[in-house]
Amino acid sequence: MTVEIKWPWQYNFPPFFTIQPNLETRKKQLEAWKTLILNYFKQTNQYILDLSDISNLELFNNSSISRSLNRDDVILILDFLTRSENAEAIDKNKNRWYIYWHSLREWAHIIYSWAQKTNRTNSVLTFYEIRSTPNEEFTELNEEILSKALQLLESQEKAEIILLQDTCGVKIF
Amino acid sequence: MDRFEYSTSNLQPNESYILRSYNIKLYDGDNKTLFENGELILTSHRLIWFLPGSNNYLSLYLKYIVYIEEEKPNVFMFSKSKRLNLYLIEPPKIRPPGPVSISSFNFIKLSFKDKLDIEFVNALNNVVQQKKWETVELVQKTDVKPPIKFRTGIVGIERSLEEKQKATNESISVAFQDLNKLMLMAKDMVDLSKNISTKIKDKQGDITDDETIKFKSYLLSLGVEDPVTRDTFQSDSEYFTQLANEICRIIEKPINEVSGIMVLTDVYCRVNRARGLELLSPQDFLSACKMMEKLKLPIVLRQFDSGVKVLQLASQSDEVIVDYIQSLLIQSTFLTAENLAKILDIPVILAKERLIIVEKFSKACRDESIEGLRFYPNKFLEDLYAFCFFFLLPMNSINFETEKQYSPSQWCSRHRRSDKVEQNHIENVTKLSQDVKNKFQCESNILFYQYQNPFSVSLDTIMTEMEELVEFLLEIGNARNWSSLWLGGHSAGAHLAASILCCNLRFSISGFILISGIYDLRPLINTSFNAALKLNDNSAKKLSPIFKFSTVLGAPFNNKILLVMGEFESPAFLEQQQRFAQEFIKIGLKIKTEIISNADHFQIVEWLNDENYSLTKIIIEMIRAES
Repeated sequence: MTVEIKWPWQYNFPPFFTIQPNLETRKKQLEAWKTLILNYFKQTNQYILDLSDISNLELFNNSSISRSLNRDDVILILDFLTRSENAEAIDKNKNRWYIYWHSLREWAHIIYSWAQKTNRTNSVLTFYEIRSTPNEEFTELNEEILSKALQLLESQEKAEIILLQDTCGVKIF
Repeated sequence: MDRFEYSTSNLQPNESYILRSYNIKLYDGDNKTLFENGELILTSHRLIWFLPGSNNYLSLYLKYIVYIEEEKPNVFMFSKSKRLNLYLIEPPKIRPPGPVSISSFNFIKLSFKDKLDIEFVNALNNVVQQKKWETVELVQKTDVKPPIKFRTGIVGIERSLEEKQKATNESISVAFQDLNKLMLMAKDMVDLSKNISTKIKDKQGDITDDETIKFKSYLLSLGVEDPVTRDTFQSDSEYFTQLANEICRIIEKPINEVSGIMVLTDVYCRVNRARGLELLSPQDFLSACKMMEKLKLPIVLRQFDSGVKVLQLASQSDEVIVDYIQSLLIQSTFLTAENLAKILDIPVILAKERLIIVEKFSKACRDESIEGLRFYPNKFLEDLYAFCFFFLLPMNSINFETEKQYSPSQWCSRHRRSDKVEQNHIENVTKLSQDVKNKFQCESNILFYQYQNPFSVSLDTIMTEMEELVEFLLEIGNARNWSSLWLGGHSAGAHLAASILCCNLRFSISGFILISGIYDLRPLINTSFNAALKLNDNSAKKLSPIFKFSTVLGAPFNNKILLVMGEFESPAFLEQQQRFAQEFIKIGLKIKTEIISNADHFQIVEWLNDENYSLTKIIIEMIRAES
């Protein structure tokens, strides 16, 4: 992954890496982390964050100012992201996280309007087909996230998930 | 032999004479000594050896003797033994002087002239066994004599140190006695100084000014005249009130010198130093300080969250301190408590408290790392809103029906003559631009990107350039810590801004202000503008934001898009806004739409530099609203 990240100014501002005790300041700081994390995952096309890795991640370690975030701080930020539906802990120990740079609701909406625009409604689409559509935001979308988004559509009665032999398909109405 | 000491022949109390023997020679271990042909007296406590007729007596205390033994006869000698060996214990470290200072032998010999004096030997054995010296300890006369220091080596040094210590202890206790006397004296001194000061007051004429000043300075250095003491007051509260006043008087000037704040312990020391006598207890002092605020004194007691107590000038509010330290922070990028302590010349603990106050006021933020705790200016809350606003100034219009609909100058409430309207508008907007630049220089960055002649280039080119401009702005924004970039436009400018809004949003723009915009270009094909625009149905569709509506406009844009028109705009413009707004509603995005009453197409922006103008207020409110 050699995408060049455009770091925001905060990334080179040492206090960015200390969770601020002043609540007003902290809110802004967390907002900035949220934007940065979501952009980072979007640009590197990643969907899952593993906390056992954070010490190797440039995102949480700025070696040029020798500052980094520790695990507890990262969890605090991810909890903040969870509140805006932009993250979700996969396991109870909060070790692995889904990062939703579009919330599930947005993903569902994007896929739904794509299907409508491209006249793919009322026919069965495999998950693979959706994921391998070129030049769409959901190209190569993480399969679990895709499944979750489609489940959301299903609950809104806009789609139906069908189990095929060895894969899943969906019918969008 | 070193157990012998000089003495007199006088018997000590409780000592009794027992026996005398003659012609005795002393041996130090196996070595002969110069002490020959002397007489030896045995008493209940000692052996005393002396030369007849001499006044030099050597005595050996019997307590040193552990064992007495007749020397075995020499095999080559036929005679019987005439020597007696006395084995001795180690001598004490400190002892009166004797004939030999150090000996390597732990025994001496008494040599009798002809043969052992059996009677003497038996008597000696008896006396040593009786140990009379143990029942009554002899008062050693030699103790009274000043010791003669001739010992050297480590033992000597140790001894002299011990003596010195003893002497110091004594002199300290003497000194304390003196101090008590001094306190009494000091009281007299203060009385005296009071007398002098009243005399100075009375006889001011007689004494020169110089002398008065000199005297006064002497008096000041004597401390507080007439310190407030507990026993002069009936009630505690009265005492504390007076004490609080006194503390204020003493400390106000010094506290001013150290930038208005002083740790309580420092104040306590200073006050007690100034009083000199009648020292205050910490409890009384604290109680007095607690009264200060009630008494509305110029100095108040303050306790920080960490528990540190200080006295502080009442006039010095937190706001003033915060402002000052904030300016220091900005000058020096970051500060540690140590840095600030140096700058303000205050203790480090206070410097830290101050930085924490600044942080509390949201004017600083912290950086905690292995390099220590540093405070930075709070850039997180520095709201630099960037607002990029496009104006495209219309050309002269021609009077046809469609033309009329799309020629805003035909739809204005002020002037009949349309050309004049536009002329006016250009002047007004230029002035507005200038005003805003001057007014908001510090608060926000507003860039005015003016096309002198928009229709000389194709709309496509303009679009591309706009996108480049936005990209450029975002880069600047990143470098200058803009917290958000807003895009806005008026009329054709609104069209540009809306195009960027709809171009799949490659840019992270915070929000859009679209004023009197055209979002569907097709109606323009039939106007004279098209001579310059050169639009056909296809290209018009391609360049119309309404047909490129982005599906990815997500929740972050809720309440971040404003569509606004003037009440007196042409129906065609009003319809454009309505249709565009519909598109947002379709994707479920909340946007703001406004119609500004009494405004036409031009006034709607010309009034923007009036803070009380409703549209100005709406825009500012939107930009400042939390995301």
